[in-house]
This record gives sequence, structure tokens and C-alpha cells, in this order.
Amino acid sequence: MMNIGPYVEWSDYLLKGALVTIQIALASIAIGTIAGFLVGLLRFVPSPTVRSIVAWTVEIVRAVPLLLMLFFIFFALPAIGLDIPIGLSATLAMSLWMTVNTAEVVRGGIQSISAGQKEAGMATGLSGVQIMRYVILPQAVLRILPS
Amino acid sequence: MTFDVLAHLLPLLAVGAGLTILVSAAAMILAIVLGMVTAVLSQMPGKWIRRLVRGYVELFRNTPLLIQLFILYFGFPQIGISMSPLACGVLALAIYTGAYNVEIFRAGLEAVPIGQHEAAVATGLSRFQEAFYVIIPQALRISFPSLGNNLVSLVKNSSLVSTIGLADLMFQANEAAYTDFVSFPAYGLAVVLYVVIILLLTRVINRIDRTLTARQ
Repeated sequence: MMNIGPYVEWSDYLLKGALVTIQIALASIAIGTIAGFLVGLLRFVPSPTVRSIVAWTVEIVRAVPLLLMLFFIFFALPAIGLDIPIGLSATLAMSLWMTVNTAEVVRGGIQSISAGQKEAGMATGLSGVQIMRYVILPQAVLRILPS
Repeated sequence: MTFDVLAHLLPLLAVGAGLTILVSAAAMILAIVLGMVTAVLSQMPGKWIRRLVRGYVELFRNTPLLIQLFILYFGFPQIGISMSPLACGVLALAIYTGAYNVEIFRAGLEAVPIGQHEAAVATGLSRFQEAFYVIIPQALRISFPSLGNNLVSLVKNSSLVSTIGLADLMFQANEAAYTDFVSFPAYGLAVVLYVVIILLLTRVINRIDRTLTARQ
């Protein structure tokens, strides 16, 4: 017969941990999704400079392991005077990770909408922003949501 | 000052980066074999095999890799199975990535047009020949881009093996940060090295993908 004592004793700690997991996950998902959406849209602004800066930043941030991102924010930034409390560090790292990954999904979704849609928008005299807002995004969002 | 610190750190972290690449390469080879064999198994008749494959995929994709690694390294010795950190690290990464690869290969196998199967039957190939010479090569071609993404994720996930004492890039950065109090340059340099490894890897994968596409 297995002794269940330790399990009862630990369950309290583990449940507290689960609560922190949920808190950080919810905060990061919320922040990361919104920020990721905006960053994804930045890939389609008219300025090529902005587009390539955003593209490179996303590519570089995506290349960093999450664990290293977390350690960098929590252990390395204090050395240059940025002291961020532990909960905020974790949320920040997870949000950043979520942001760049969401941004890539959003980019993929928008690029998957056929060029004819954009051309149709131009032909009916819509502005660039209007095309994005009323033609491309409503279709792209449907493809983005599953990912 | 900064230059001295970097000159001191670079050899340490470079050794770590070597281990990161080694562990990732070993795990990826295992994960590809595991994913492919399991994907082919899942195409076999018999629902028990399919349920087993489903169970493996769901179990390993829906739990954190860190927990899987800890169970393998800290949990298994308690039931009499002890392995070195290197073996545990490679195995945990391989089984985790393998679960993702199964889905990719399965989708690849299912994406090969049915006409290819009919053509193989019509030319009198055995089932084995059909699988090896007709279906699997095409499935691999279809799966390649997604497989590349998995390889990139694997290299990043390999940073977790630092937690069981494998002296990879992440581990060396931690060591340097703790022992020499150079946390900013240590982690900063680690970021740079990971970015270099991943960007090079991405370029190689894209080049192979283009070659494969051009050959068609």
C-alpha cells in the first residue's frame, strides 16, 4: 500500500504553484496576443525600413530560448540597473515569447489571403488602411484563430 | 574591461554551444526516426496501434518538456532506471520532438495523392516497395518545411537540459553568471550565440527546401 501522506502534504504547494502558472499564463496570453497582433500588422506598413526592422527583431527574438529570455530579464538586466521583480520578469519573458510567435502567425494569416482581394480593394477605391481593415483582416482572422 | 570579460567568456560558451549542437543533432536524428516509424505504424490497419500512437502524441505534446525531463532524470532512478544526464537529455528531447514529428509525417503521408498508390499497385510493386520507393520519399518532401520548424524548436528547447547538469550553452552561461558575477555579458553572449546558431540553421533549412523544390 502506498503512503498517501506526502501527496496530501504536497498538494498544497503544488496547487499554489498551479495558481501562479494560471496567473502568469493568463497575463502573458492576453498581453502577447494583443501585442503580437500589432507587431504582425507592422509587417505590412508601407515603409520598407520599418518592415525590415520589425522582421529582423522578430526573427532574432524568436531565436532565443524561452529559458534564456527569462534568465536574461531576471538575472542580467539588474546588472545594468534594470531591477524587475520576479513575477513581472516571468510575465514579461512569456509575453515577449507569445508576442513574437503570435506576430508570425498573424503575418502568415495575412499573407495567405490572395492578392486578388487586395487588388479588388484598390479597384473599388479603398485606401491601404481600409483594405486592411475591411477586406484582408476579416478573412485573415478566421485563419489565424485556430493557430 | 568588457573586451577582457568577453574574451574570457567566449571559449567557455563556445564549448557549451558545441554540446548544444551535439545534443540537438543526436535528439533530432532519433526524433525523425521515432516520428517516421510511429507515423507509418499509425497508417497500419488495427485500431489499437492507432490508439497507442494517439496516446503517445497527446501525452507528450500536452505536458511540459521540463516535467518529462525531470521524470526521466529524477523520477526513473527511483524505479530502478538510471541514465546519464546526456542520455536523459537526448532521450527526453527526442521523445518530445518525436511526438510533434509524428503529426507532421502523418500529414505528409496522407497528403501523397492516392494515384501514387494506384500507380505503384499497377506497376506490380509490393507493399514494402511501394512504401519505401513511392510514398515515403514524397511524404518526406511534403513534411520538410514543418520538420525544419521542429528542428529549430528542438535547438531552443535543448536549453532545458542545463537543468539536469548537462554543460550546454545555457548551463555555461549560468555558471559564468554565478561564479564570475558577469551576468549581463554572460547571458548577453549566450543570446548572441543562440541567435547565430538558429539563424544559420534556418538558412541551411531554407536552402535545402529550395533545392528540393527546384528538383521537382
